[in-house]
Amino acid sequence: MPTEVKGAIALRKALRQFEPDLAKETTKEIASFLKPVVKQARGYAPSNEDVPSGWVKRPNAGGRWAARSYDAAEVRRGITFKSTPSKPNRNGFRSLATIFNKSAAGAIYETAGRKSGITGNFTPHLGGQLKGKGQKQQGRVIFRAVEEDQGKAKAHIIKAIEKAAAKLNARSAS
Amino acid sequence: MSILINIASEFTGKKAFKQAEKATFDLDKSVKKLAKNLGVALSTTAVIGFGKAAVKAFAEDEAAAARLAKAVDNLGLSFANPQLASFVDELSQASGVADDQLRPALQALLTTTGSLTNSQKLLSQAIDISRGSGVDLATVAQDLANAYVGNTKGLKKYNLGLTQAELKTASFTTIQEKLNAQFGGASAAYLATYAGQMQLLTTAAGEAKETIGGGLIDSFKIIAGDTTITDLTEKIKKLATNIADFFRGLAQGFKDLSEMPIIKQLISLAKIMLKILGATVGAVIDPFTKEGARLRSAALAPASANAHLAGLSAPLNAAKAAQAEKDAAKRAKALADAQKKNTAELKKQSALKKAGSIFDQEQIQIVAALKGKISEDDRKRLELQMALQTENVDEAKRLTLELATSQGITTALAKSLASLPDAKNPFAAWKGFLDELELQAKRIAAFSGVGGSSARNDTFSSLSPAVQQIVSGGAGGAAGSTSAGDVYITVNGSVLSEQDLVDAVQNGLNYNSLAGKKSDIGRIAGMFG
Repeated sequence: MPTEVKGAIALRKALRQFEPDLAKETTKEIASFLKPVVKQARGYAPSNEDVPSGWVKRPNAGGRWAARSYDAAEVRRGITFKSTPSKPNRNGFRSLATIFNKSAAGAIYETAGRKSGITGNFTPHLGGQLKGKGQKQQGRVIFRAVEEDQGKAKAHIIKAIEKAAAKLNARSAS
Repeated sequence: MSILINIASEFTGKKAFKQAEKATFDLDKSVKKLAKNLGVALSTTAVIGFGKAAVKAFAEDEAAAARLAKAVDNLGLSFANPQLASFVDELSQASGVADDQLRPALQALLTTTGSLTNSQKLLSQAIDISRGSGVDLATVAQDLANAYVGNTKGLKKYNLGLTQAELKTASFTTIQEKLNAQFGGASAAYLATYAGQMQLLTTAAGEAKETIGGGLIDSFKIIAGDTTITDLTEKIKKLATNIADFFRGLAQGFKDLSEMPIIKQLISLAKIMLKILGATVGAVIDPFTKEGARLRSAALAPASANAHLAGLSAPLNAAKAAQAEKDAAKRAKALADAQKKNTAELKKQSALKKAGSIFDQEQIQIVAALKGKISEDDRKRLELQMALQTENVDEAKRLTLELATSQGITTALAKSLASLPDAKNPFAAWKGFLDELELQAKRIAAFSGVGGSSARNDTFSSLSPAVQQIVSGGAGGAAGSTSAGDVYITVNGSVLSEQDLVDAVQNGLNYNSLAGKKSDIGRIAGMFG
């Protein structure tokens, strides 16, 4: 799913250094392409009535599962994006843009059953659809949204970077 | 932990990679030199892989040696640790069994027997048994240790030709002799084969790996500059990981360079120079090798420094060893006595059980019904039951014998009754009798007239007066003879034929029988009356 590009991070650094307004504009442009995907992803998060009732967050609940119980509002709040370059991961890769599913319950709903299958007492009652390519790129929320986007957002982002590079070069030349 | 999707990623590298490049470049130089010194073209990956395995092997070997040493210390035989270590090394070289297998086996035998000599002998025997039976050495050693204390359950798999009861009652010496007879010399025979020779080589290579591993650990410690194992392992991990990346890039770079004509010429020149310098490389490596040997000796220095102290304490150690052997022998004797007692008890239990099986209610009923005698046998059985309940073995044996004898007689009688021949048909002889009667009558009829011939006259005179009267017709016409010489007898009644006569006689006999008149039957002669 992630497309490897070359020089985009350096370009963003150069933009921030030499053309801050162009850097801001590029950031906003990237965000505009990510927002619809994130909005769609939030729509895939079910409401409290649609998940197993025992998993729903209760007030004044304690213990290990208190932080992992499902609350639709919290899960939707945790589905966000970032349009600025990320820090390098342990394999040395940085990304131009990132979509997150930050909450614990959101992560559970996203990935439940993608390794062991839809079996047992929990995953068959979650609903949703596991979409995506490969076991580790499957999910019910953000992965589903990106899969259904069919790479359009990615293409737009790369085009935005190229446009920014062209503008930078043009300004540098002039 | 949040889930994320990276869009438009780029590889930018990490700071740590750059720092590791220099270290891996230096390591690469020394690795290549090592490969040349060994005379084989080893890839860096292979050498590092070997190094990792060597370090691991050394660590595991050291841990196993520590466990054995601790066990020996706990037995109060600390002085024997060096002797045991050298015994294990020598046995490993001679038998081709790795020392990490020998040590746990020796530990099991030592802790059970408490004797250095016995445990070493048993270990050698265990190797033979393992080679001969195909069972792994650890299992064999454990079975021997169990058998030493009387638990012979595990010996069943060696097929010694002993029953379970015999295994339970046999002494350890007997079992050892059986095992020796069956598996003695199996190890030597195995080592003479190709597989055995390969095993010796493999074991030797394994030992070499452990030795190199020990040296590598020391070298890493020296290079890393600290002795914390956690930090050291982290550094080794980073080095090993980054070497692959470094050489990937380096190889690509060299490939591009080697395509250039000038570089090709330089490489061929370098090859010639390397041949010349080959000898001097060894000279460069040798000082390092010597230094490494010196450091190894320095590590062993505390042991050798105490050598003179060891010499002073030799008599004390010999006394301790002798005492340990004595204690072990005492314990072995106690075990043997306990086993004998156990055997006697088992025999007693077996006898009581056997006696109990003879007491059978059903048999009492059958014998009483056959013989009609209840009192004497019942009395014996009741006495036997009492003896079983009071566990009086001698009395039970005696009564069992008497009862068995008594039952034997009864059984024989029942058998003889069952084997009697079938009774003969009482009427089977009648036919013969009637045939004879007919013959007599014919003979009588052969006399035609009275005084017809001299022979007839003789015969006629031999007959009874009643019969003579019948024949001469003086019986009121009831009998007479024709001119042809036939005799006729008129019998009043309903008997007109021979069959009627037979029926009349049979009916008469049946009537007598039903009327309760006695009839004598001679079965053997087939007679009746």
